[in-house]
Amino acid sequence: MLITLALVFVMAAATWIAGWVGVAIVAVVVGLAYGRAGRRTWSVALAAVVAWAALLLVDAASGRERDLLVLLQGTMQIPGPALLLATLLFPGLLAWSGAATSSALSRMIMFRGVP
Amino acid sequence: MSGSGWLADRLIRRLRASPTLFALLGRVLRLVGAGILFIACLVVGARRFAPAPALGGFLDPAHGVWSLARTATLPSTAAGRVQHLAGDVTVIYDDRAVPHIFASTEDDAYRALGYVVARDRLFQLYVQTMAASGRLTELAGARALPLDREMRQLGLTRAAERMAAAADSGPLARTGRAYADGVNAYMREMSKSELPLEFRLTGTRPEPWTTLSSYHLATRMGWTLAYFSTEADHAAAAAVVGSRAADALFPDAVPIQEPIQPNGQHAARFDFHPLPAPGTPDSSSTLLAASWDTFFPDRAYVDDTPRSFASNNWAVSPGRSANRHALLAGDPHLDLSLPSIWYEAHLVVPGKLDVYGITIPGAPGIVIGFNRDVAWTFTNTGADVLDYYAEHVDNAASPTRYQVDGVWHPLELRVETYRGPRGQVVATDTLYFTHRGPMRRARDRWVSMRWTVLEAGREIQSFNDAAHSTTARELEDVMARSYMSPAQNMLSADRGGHIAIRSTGRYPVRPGDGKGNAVRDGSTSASDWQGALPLSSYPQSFDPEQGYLASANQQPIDPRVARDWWGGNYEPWRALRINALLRADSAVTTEQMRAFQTDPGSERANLFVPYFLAAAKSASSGTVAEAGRLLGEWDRRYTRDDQRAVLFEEAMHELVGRTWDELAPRGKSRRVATPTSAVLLELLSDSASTWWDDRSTPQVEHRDDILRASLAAALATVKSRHGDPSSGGWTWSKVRFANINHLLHLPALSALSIPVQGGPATLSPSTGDGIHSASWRMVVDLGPEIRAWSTYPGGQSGNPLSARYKDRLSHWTNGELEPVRVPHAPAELEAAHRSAELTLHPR
Repeated sequence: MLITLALVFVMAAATWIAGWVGVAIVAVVVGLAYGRAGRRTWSVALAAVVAWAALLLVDAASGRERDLLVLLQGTMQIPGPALLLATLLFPGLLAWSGAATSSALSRMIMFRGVP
Repeated sequence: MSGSGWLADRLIRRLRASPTLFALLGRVLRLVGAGILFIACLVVGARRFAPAPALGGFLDPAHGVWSLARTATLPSTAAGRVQHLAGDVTVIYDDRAVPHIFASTEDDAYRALGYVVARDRLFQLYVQTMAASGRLTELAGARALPLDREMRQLGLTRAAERMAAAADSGPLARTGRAYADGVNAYMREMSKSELPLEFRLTGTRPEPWTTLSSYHLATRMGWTLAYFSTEADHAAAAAVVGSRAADALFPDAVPIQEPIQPNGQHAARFDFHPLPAPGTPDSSSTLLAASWDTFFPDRAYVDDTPRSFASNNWAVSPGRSANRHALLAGDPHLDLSLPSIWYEAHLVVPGKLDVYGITIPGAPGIVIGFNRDVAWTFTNTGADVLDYYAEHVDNAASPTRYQVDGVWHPLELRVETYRGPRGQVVATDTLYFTHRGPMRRARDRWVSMRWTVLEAGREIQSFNDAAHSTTARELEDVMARSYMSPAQNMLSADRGGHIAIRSTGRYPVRPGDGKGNAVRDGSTSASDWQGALPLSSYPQSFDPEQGYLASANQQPIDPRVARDWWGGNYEPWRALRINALLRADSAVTTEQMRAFQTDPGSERANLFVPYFLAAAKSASSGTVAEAGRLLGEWDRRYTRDDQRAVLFEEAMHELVGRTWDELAPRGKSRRVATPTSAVLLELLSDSASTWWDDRSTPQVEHRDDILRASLAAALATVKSRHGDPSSGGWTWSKVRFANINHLLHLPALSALSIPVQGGPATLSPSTGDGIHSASWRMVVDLGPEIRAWSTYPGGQSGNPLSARYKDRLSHWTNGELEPVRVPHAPAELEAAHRSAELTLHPR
């Protein structure tokens, strides 16, 4: 739990510093470590989703997020909830797939005492 | 052992060590699946798949589209750094979001202007430049090709490049570079979350601003205001009904005279004559008509009359104002957009410059406005400054030379490449230029075009020079020195109580009859322009005896005074209206000046309605009588709640179609040209003219027959379209709207279907499509301390999420103006009237 929480902060910070690519970078690095430790990577995805949700709340503090949602809905002809869903789904998929890829690679390549 | 061999070896060892083959297979599949998904996410995140943007950057809540919510409002305080600044510049935004720039040098003031314009209107700067430079295909793909082709094939982009190169060494270049410093400084400092929404939606990025960008804007304004060929109407008509008839339908002088330069009359003058009957088609007009179709392929009329510009300005001298100050009002009419074409700003350099007004994003200067002594505003002159020449070339299929006076000259060839959003080549064109201008093929001939817009150069500097004027006379003379195109009726007034107007531009002197309504023989230099009209010949007036001046795109000068060729298809109605209003009142107030700008009265209606009513009186048909009765109830004012204007407009539509049926070639339904409603009124004074006969009927019709038929048809159409007269469906506000489209024509970012007061030919006319109207309204009181009021349909911010995006729209819709604050120094602007501050430091 604590690790996941820490991951949330790291994901948020990485996004703030490097943009969406930060999520991919953190996911790959964490995936490598998780692979060595045999941990599941779904928590990386969860951390990414929660991080972006938290950043959305920061944007919403301006009070204009609802107006923006309406604007985007009208401009892009996509329902607002779908846009929000995409905003949370994208980092989740990116983080999980990145972590899973690096984790699997890590387990396959790492020496495990095979003669 | 190689890398892949090592990996295979490890894999095999793992297979042997693994408890089950399937477990390993599962891991491999998981790896492959995750890997594919990861790559897919990266691709979708990084790459745009039109119309969807690149998802990663778009959805990123820290810097993507969601972060726009954080940057919708300008921070209350901010700082920036600009290259080449001589000292700090203070910018105070007032409670109307107008930036008041206080600088120590004029160059710094223009740097700051560039910075604040970029801050508020960055996407507008970008898309305007793309449009003006013929590069919209890089934004919108191949569908924008016709628009880009028009800009380049007319020679506008080439002209801008030449103007920029020529200006590089003068003071104009300095101002342009200063402005560019400011724009580029903002772009350099802009955070990712401040990138405007439109860039994110289109997947584009702003480009560095150069002085060339400003010249592209200037040539595009020339295209907007001076690209029409009224002689083409004459030629098209002559090709159908003969030259004699065409001369009368498209006359050199408007038959209703209320010119810009006062001629001493106390009312409009009606120079009506019987129109010659339709005659034998004139085959020699065919080439000009074809030329026009080549250069204007998408010719279309708005409503039933040629699209005419609709700007107004007027000024009253102290003797005719209630407060004994000179008063000035101006409302230039342009296609409306969000954000507005105009941006309001105030520039102060103590002791040197103090100018307030509106600029066009991209133009390094105030275009319309006032300083502490003088106010000025413009309307479009609409003079004919464009001519065609039939060229003699060496090879009709692929010309390389053209001949003048027996001597061959090389053509300038210019290859234009149009690119798409990913840099791919969409199309290429080879353009040809003679010494006159761009040359294009018109049927089996090559025709070149000479146009003053392609030869202008110092307009930007003229605005900056004008900002230093201290009297109306000085302003007019300063503009006349360097302003060439597009010609404008420049109205000014000063605190000394003087008012002045001059139609300033460059007007070619043509050989022969001096007219520009024919394709000239390009093989002889005798066809070329022989110079320009001298300043003394310009329509102008200084402190006229009548005590007021007014221009509303009407004929600039009375033909009884001067017979120079102006060539415009001038409509007189707004001029008639404003002159009538100003004549009627010898103590005009600023409030009246404001009210006149949205006056719903119509001299067109006042003059046409009696003819309809008289014809309806003798009607045997109940429908005509009913139409006459309904029309007779109308007060001839286009207010929003009016219930009869819709009938009149439909009746006029019917009248135009039925009257000018001879202008549709046999077998065709579309007219080749439509005379002005002034000519139609002239015809109405001749009840027995052969023009009234409807070719489609065996009997011979006269005027009143056509008027009655028009009324009957109009009533049937209006009832069918809008219901019973008492149903409320005839309400003008349900019929006529203003439509203010976003630059990308996104409905969610536009303001559409705005009910407006005004109709065709009122002082604030509404076009059928609603996209053309007053882009700015200003009233200035030139008292001991200048006072002013203004508005425009939009807001200072180009950010659709900003509270300043269209906050002025309600004022504009209601014909209201807001008082303008003009502080001499930052301290004069009280805290309660400030919304933000910006300090610019030298970089």
